[in-house]
This record gives sequence, structure tokens and C-alpha cells, in this order.
Amino acid sequence: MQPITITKSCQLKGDVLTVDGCEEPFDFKELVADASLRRRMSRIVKMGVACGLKCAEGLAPETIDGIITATGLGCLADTEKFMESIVVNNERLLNPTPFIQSTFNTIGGQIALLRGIHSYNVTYVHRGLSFESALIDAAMQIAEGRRNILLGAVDEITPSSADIQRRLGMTREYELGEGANFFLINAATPGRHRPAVLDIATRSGRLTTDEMIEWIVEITKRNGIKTSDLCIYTNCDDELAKTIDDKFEPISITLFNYKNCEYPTLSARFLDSAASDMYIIRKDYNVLIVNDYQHINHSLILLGKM
Amino acid sequence: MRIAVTGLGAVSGIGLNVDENIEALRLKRHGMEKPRFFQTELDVPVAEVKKSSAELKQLLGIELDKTMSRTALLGMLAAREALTDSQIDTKAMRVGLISSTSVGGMDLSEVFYNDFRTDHNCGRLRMVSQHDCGSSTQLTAKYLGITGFTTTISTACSSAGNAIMLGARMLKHNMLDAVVVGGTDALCKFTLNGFNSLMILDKEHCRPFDATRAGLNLGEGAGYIVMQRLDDAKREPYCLLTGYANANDAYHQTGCSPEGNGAYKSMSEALAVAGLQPSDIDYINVHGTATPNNDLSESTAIRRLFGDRVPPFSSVKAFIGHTLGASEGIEAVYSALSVKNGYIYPNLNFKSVDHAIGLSPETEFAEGRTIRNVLSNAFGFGGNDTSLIFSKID
Repeated sequence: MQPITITKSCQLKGDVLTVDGCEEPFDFKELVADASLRRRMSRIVKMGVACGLKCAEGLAPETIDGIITATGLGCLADTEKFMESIVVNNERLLNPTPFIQSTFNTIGGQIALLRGIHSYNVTYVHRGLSFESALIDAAMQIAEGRRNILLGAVDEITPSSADIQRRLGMTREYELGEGANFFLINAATPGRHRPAVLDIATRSGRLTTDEMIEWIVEITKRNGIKTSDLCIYTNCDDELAKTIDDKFEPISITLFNYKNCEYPTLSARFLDSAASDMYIIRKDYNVLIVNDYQHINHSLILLGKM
Repeated sequence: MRIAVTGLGAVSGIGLNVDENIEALRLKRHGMEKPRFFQTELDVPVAEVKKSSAELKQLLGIELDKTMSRTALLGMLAAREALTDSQIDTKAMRVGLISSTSVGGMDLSEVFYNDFRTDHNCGRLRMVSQHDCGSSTQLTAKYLGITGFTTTISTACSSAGNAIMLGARMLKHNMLDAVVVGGTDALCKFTLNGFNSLMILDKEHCRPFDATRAGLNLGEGAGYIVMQRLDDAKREPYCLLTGYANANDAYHQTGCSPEGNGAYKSMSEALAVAGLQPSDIDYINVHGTATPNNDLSESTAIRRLFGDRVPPFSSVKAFIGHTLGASEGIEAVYSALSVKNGYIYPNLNFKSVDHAIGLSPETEFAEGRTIRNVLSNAFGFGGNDTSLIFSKID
């Protein structure tokens, strides 16, 4: 793939918004002035819209050539609200707002609407690889000559979805989390201090430790990077992390403690963290993000500087 | 680089495969009925696929006691037909699956929710584990033995158009050698009540572009096409996919702008990608949902682009209903055959011209026409507008 630059990285986690890793105060009322529109927005829509608008700040709408979003489970609270109203009201006289807002592309659509952005606008909804799909699309858009691409990932946790995931056994190893991330993506140009995404690879299904190791070797080899020159960011389990450490002797391993937080588009948070570190540290090194979502969806994202 | 369409698969309220669909279109036999397979209090016609989920499992050779969302079953049936038709070997090349859906496994989630809502320890988990949109895609990939790049798009009613567009781009970027693209959606209370709450469901059979049109009818189904680079095609392709574009109306979360800005932009950009002029288009498969707003806005955009030389156009929504995430998958199949066989499909229930629109759709089935290029539109919530162009191989 043709490398892309992460020009800006915004993250919203709880009430804390960071831009390139640094906390920035924000007022949602200023971002979305229309009070009735704010009232209609559920938490996930607010999170995503706030984060996306912050990321697009200062850019004229006609210079934004695409809004590409990702969500594993979408707008769960609105979905449940509408399902509940169907049962309670026996399919009569329902309020359409939660139905409208439950649509998976609500956040991308709202950002386009609020900023008057008429360009490409697509949403990926593919479990633990939703964000990676969006990232691949963003890289293709840049390769096709687009300028600014807004790339986002949002997931929310609700009491019902927490209960269901607990009963499904998904919380045995993990605590559940949520968050919003948006990135401003541009063509990679040499000499900038911004981190670049050099390569992305995805896989589904269970992988053995050996298969993971082989896969890491493959991606670094094809990019001409030594595994010992890598800083690794990963949420993989202790066993795999130890094998990676022993086998590759990387510069460092940043373990996102998988017991702390888990949601389908969590890899966007890893990218924010790695990209922000690279921007702040301003040294030349490569990063490999090793994402292991529920041992089912895996991705490798290779970062460097041009 | 030219992208060829080498396989087609469709299931809808008018047929379980491509041939049955075309035969029904030819005979003007629509699929609109009162719901048979899912329970609803709403008294509206829908275009259900005329098989129960158990019957669909039998057709697919899936054990009856296996829990499968209807969305997944419909997807498997149409994707299997498309893949078989293309004669590609999934083991010999990089084959991907890009699917789309608007509500995923909602048909099962609704059953789960009835028990779950009052007690979170109740409800059978296997009824909710296919809720997410990626589930039906993964099940289809597994069923078909597709191990290459797999993903799912959800942009409401334009979803499948965007899946087709992504597939074409990935072929051009040489990330895949062949790709199965399209969408699937099963009817469920959630969407039926959603559109009803928006007051855009017609209690009668829908009438796209007619002066008396009063809303849409929903349908269900799935449609997939297989695309490859032309040089790699093993069999004679149906047509090429030459143009594609997605644009945003940025006007309203559910409604379309009076000027049809998003639609105008997606159609113009698709023409630019294809390197074509409006006069090169010989047929438009319009989105044509039969809501007063959509048909007026879409025709305004068409008039802006084509001036006083609007090519023949029609909407198939009165046959198969609005199949949401599946619609452009199914209609891409129809469009490909329109190019190959010179088909024009009838727009049912059109009787009187709406003077605000001032255009009349085609009302009879035709074949053997010279159709160089077909423009196909799909528009969705969030102002999401997608246009595709299917072209003859010269």
C-alpha cells in the first residue's frame, strides 16, 4: 500500500478529549449549537460527532474528500430504545428518532450534515476489523488522489450489551469499554514529523502463537524493517507478548492491558496512542500494532516516518 | 484497468434465483403480499421471500437445528449462486467478500429481546449472537470457503452500492483477484416499524413516480455480483462496472434535498469515473422508492444532469419492495442483465404523471434494446447517495 500520514489524532474517552495525546477542553454546545439536535443525539452519537468535529476543525468542508467511519456494534442505546417502544406500544405511534439515530452511518452522516461535507461517506461494521477496513479504505482514497480524509471509530457500551457480552463469556478475560477516535489522514510526504501508516494486514479466526509470529515476520520483511527496531503496541495475552519479546527483542512492548478495556474498534485507540507517542517523541522508529480482538479478529498496523 | 462482472446471484420477493427474478419482471408478477413469515401488527404489504427460514436452510443444505439469521440465509443463497455462476476457484486466487446489511441479524434479536427485556438473564443467547452486521458476512464467507479479505458495510439503503464500489476499487488496487460484492437484509419488525414511524410506508401497493404515490413498501432479499479484472475472467463476462461514486446530500438525516444535490453529485462523479457523457447512458435503474420526497428529488437531479434528454428509466421497487441493505445488490444484478440482454424493466403501478416531476418511467418489459450503459442509483439515510454504471464490453 501507499503510505498515509496521520496529521491529527483525536480521542474521546469519558469526558476527556485529547488531540495528538494532549488533553484539550471542549464544549459540546459550541460544537453542536442546535439544542434540539443535541437532545436527539444519544451518547455514542455525541461522542462520535464531538470527536469528529474536533478532528475536522479548521478545515473548509470542500477540502474534506471523505468521511470513513467504523463501528462494531453501532448505536446500541437507540436500537434498544426503538425495540422497547415496539413492544411496549405494540407497534403503534412510535417516535422515529431512535430508529433514525440507530442507523450505523448516523455519525458519519451527522458530521457531513453539520459541516456541509458532500464527499464520500461510508461506514464499516465488521466486528473487530471494522476500523481496519476503514483504514484500508482511507489509504486507498489517498492513493486515488484525495486530500483530507476523516477516519473515525466509535463504539458504546450499554447495560444490556454488557449483560449480553457477560453471558456470552466475552468478559472472562476482558472488561468492556467504549470510546471514539478520529484521525485526519493525508498523503505521506517526506520530512514531516507526523507518523505514517506503512502497511495494514488483517485476519479472522483463531491463530496459533506460531502463526502470529510468522505473520509478524512476513509484514516486517515485506517492508524491509527489522523486528528488533520495532516498538510494539499490543493487547495480546501474556503468553504471546512474552514470545514476541523473546523472539524479536523489540525496542519496547507497550501492553494495552486487555483486562482493562475491550470493544470492537479498540485498535483505533492503539493507533491514537502509538501515533501520538511518535509525534511527541519526534525520533525515527517503527511501530507495529498487534491487535488480537477476542482471539478472533487480528490485525497488524505498521507505522513509521517518511 | 477494466472491471468485469462475471457472476450474478439474487433472491427476492419475486424469485429465489436470477432466472426466477427476471421471469417475474418479464411477466410483471410482483411479490407484494401481507407478511407470512414474521408477525406484525402493521397492516401493510411487504415483498417477503416466499420460503420460511427452515426451507431456506434445506435449500442451502444447512441443518435445521442450526441457528441462522434470515439475513445470513438469504445472503448465502444469493452469494452461492453468484460464485457458482462466475466459475472462479476460491482456492486458486485471492477472493474476497464485501457484504452489506442495514440491520444484520435483527430478525433473531427481536425474538431474543422479548424474553430479555424484563429479565437480563433470560433470552437464548444463540438468538442474539448474530445481531452484529459482520455476523452474516462471516457466516457466508465460511459457507462459501472464502478466506480472502472480508468486510461489511452499512450505510442504510445505499449499503450494497458502496460494497460494490469498494470491491471495484480493491481490484484496481490489486488487493484482490476476484470479489463477491452485494448485500442482504431480512424483513423484521424493527425496520418495518421504523419506516412506519417515519410515515413513509404506503398501506397500498407502492407507485414509484406516480402522481398518487404515497410511500414505499419494504421487501427482503439478497443480491451479489462477482467482479474480476477483465483479463482474469474465465467465462464471458456479463458487462463491465465502469463507473461508481458515493456523495453526501448533507441536507437532512432522512430526507433528500429539493435540488437532489447528493444524487446529482454521485451520478456526475460516476460518469466522470467511467469517462462517459450523460448521452452515453441508455437506461437508468432509479432508486425510486415511491416516497413523495425521494422520487421528486431524484428526478430533479436526473433533469439537472440529463436536461431534456432523460434516458428511459424505471424503478423495480413495486416488484421487490425496498430491500434496504440488499437493494443495490439485487438491482446490480438486474442492471448487469439489462446491459447484457438489452432488458428494460417495467415500473409497475405508474398511471399518471406527477407534474412536479414531469417524467414518465418505462412501464413495459423490453428486451433486445441496445443498451451501452446503465446507471443505477441507491440512496440512503444520512444523505448517503451511490451511483454505479454498468457498461457493455466493446
